[in-house]
Amino acid sequence: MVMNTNEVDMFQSYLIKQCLCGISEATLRKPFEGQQITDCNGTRTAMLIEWPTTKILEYLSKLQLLFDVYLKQNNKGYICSRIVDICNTIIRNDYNLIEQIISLCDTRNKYVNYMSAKVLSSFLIVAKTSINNEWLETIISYLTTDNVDYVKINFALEVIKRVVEWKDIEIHVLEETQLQEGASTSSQNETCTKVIFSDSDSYDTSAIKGLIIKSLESKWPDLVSKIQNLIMHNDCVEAQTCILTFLALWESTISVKANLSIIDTKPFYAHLEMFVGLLHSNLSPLIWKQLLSLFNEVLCYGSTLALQDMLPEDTCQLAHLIVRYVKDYRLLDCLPYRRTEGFVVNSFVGTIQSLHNEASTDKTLLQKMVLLVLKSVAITIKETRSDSSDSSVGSDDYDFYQDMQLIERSIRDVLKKVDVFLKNGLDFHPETPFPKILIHLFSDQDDYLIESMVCTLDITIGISYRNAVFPDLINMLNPIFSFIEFLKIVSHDSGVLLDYLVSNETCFLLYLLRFLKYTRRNWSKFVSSCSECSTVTRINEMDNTMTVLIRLKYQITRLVSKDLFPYNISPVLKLLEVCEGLYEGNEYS
Amino acid sequence: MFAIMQIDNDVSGREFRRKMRAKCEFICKYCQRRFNKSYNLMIHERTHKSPELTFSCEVCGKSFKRQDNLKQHRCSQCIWR
Ligand SMILES: [Zn+2]
Ligand SMILES: [Zn+2]
Repeated sequence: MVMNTNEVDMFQSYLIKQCLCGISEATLRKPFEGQQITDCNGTRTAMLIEWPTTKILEYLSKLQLLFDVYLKQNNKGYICSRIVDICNTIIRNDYNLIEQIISLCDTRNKYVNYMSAKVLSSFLIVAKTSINNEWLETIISYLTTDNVDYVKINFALEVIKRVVEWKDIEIHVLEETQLQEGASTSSQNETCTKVIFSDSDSYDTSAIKGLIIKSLESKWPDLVSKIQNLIMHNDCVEAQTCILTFLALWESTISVKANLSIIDTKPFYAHLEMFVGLLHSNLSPLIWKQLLSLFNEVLCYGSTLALQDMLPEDTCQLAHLIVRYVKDYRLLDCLPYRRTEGFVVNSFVGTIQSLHNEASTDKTLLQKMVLLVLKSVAITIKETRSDSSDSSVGSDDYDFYQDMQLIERSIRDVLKKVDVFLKNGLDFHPETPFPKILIHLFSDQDDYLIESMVCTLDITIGISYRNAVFPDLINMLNPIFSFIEFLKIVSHDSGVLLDYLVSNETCFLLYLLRFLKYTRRNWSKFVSSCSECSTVTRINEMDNTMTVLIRLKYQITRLVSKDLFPYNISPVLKLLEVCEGLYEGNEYS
Repeated sequence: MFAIMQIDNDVSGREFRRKMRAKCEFICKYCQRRFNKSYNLMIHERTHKSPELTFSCEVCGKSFKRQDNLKQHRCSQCIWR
């Protein structure tokens, strides 16, 4: 076998500098022309699959780097023309490369599979809709072969998942080196012939995402029942890997962050309820976790559902089902959050020795479970309220009151179950207030923490909408206690709150907006709740809390005056001013 | 007569649909979900976006996603100090 090491190395060294202009046409083409081998049939070009594993891996990583550079430059608006040339050659499939990469599955080598799935997905993002439909069909057909082939299923799932999860703006490692090199890189770039790629079509990935989702849709029902079967009957490592990748793909597909149209993803909401029934105590904790993540993504409360008037029916049904499973089928008791002493048992990797200092409870499982229940409750209440305001014609007040009472009773039941469950699981004193437990449960996971606060706030507002049937429920959830406890977690630092407002990693903007509205409307409750907390902590919680809010107001005002705030924050600013006014009025009374 | 009735029905139907639509006329440009208030849509649409670089050092102009990243960045005359 003859390897053109020099030319391939040169190709790579130019690629690292993000420009292929300086190399000869022959060197440019060499890496793609394949290797010559001599066997009993004489000398011929070897197929990729015939190469030694290390050479395949080297080759795939060069392709990966090529696509990475292409996508990075595309994002900036220009691409080195030679990089465009070579990518176009691959898209035109001059070297039959794509079929060869797809068939690398047959190597049964997990490293090769990992890399080829990665390369293929990047290729699809580069090529966008100028792809050969047969490639997609081949990949999709791996999902539902007659004899279950775990390697192929997982390979296809990985490719699709990577395309669906693709995010345009991510800082690449090469960017850092470019920054450091400074002058030398810029002189290099002067010799580069760039092609402008700045129209939105050149980097908009929604079309290829839509295309791949559409192809997946046709196989979805078949795939769902295959996976369901695996969850119930098969716990070999290969099957578990497929299950986890499948669930992760499902989650990414319906995730708001995937930027897919709700119309395109509608079919993927159909089979969720069946999977709730699979949550049993003998199911592996890893699969539990992945299923809970999936359901949490469906109930996208803080990002979407809390802001909508009409909630989608399938989403509400999932929420009802979770509420019912907690209330009537002891769902919380099935959660395998306790790690066995000395060992961690899971069917994915088998039984392994646990680390000495490792906690005996799996906090992530607890967090995902509790957040899911809180969201389900908030959705159930929200749905009842919007139903009542909607059917204004002929709606019977008495009927509504009866319904509300019934719903409040089951909600109270569910939340008390969560309370007891957490006190047992996290060894809290039985008298610990529920808001405090929640804040501590989520203290290391700020997105969950803030979404859980939106839920309890909305639940409180929802049930105190009319005269609450169970006042103890409102006391149990007191959103002002939650906020006071939350401020302790962030060390009363208004800068942290500002970071939360500016970044979009949590739903803090929504939370703060609603919390301030609630405080304004229930000022006397705010005052009494603060003083109630103060008697416990012997600190003036009212002054403490208001100091943070006033500092936050000052920081926001400063940013707004410099035109640096990334969006319209004035509703929050106005509420902060109103609350400050109430506080100052309160001081003199 | 029959024809007029039909048109009438159609108009009221259209009227009804228009009212229903008017209730949530703010549609997300990323996922086509519907919202009834523009501020709610804005809050939702932020979820789809990559985080903006907002905190920039006035002296060297470098931008950061978070204020604490900027604070870590050493610059003596920065407005954040
Ligand atoms: Zn170039
Ligand atoms: Zn959206």
